[in-house]
Amino acid sequence: MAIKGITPTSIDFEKLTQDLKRASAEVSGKEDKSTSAGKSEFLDLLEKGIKEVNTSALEAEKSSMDLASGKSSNIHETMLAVTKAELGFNMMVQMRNKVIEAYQEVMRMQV
Amino acid sequence: MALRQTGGILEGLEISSSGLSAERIRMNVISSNLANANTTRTEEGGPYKRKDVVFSARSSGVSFDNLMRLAFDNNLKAVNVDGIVEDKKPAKMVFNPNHPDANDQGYVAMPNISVMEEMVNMITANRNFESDTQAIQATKSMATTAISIGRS
Amino acid sequence: MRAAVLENQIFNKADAVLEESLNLRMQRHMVNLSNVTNSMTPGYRALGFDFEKQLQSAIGNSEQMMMKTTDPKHIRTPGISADGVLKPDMFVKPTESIGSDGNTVDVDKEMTEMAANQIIYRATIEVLNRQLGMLRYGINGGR
Repeated sequence: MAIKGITPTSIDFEKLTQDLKRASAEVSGKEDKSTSAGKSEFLDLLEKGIKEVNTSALEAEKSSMDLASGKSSNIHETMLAVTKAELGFNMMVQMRNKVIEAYQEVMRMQV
Repeated sequence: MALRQTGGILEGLEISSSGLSAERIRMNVISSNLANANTTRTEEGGPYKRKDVVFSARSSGVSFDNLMRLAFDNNLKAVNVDGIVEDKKPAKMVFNPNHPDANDQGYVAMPNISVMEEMVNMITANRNFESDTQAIQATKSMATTAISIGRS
Repeated sequence: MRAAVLENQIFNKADAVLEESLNLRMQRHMVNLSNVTNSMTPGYRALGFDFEKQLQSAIGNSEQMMMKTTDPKHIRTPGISADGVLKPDMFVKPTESIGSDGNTVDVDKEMTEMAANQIIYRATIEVLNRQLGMLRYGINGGR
């Protein structure tokens, strides 16, 4: 099963959330049909994390455009926003790697 | 994808350097004026005549592709030194009968140079030179930073 | 701004804005240079170069910045000409005092403008580098 949410050049946050939900469900053997029932804590954290990264990315973009267009001359604000987005994104990528690793390891287990 | 902008770094440097040359020439003229503030004899006869530079703006000369010059480029001007001219003011007549060049009435024709004025001009020329230099630094800095785009 | 940029999925509107702002700032730098160099040229009028308002209104437009001429829902935005290209404004700077030789350049003002412009130019490049760095990080899979 492929995790399609992340390609080498883009992140589709919606798809990523769904894929990770499915992966987690397969691993745990539980069916995750609705948003309220049977939701694991890990998934909650993951979803929140992805949303936060998305938000911070959008904020960084807006702040960059404001700086470049002269709307704001607050350089440190833009730098902070951009750095936060960068770190959040990096962490996201690392988390994806870890999830894939964990998934692969579990799949390797003999039952 | 065609280049939209034909000017840029090289043209900018050319404009600034034309300013540097112009100011340097002006400094030389001022120095000459100051050195000769009391010269009463010259090869042409008569006292030294004060000199001045004439500046004019000319279109900057660098263009990568004439077909693509935008109207924008034609508005940027470098500085051209049109020439060095003599000040037409008449010489100062100073009463000094003991001077070897005094005329029958005891007056000497002195160069029409005011040291104060020349000093002020020199300071101005210096300041302009500094500004042009700073502009070159700014241009270089922007170019250097642009070169680093995408460097990991 | 180039339509190709927006159709490309890797680079989005924010990148186009940043890139275009670099071009515009370079042009402003050239105008300042020209003014400074000609600070003593008789009859020379100081020039100015404005682009901020136009760029900002292009950003504020939530639709695509690059409007196709065949688009029937064409929206009129100030500072953007009919074919969707950003139009910066080069003008003669208004001035209260004119030197005796007709020169209107205020060298200190020009140098200040130049300094500010340069700072934002470099900041923009830094931000651009970060975006590209993130892309590279993603491509390398975080390794």
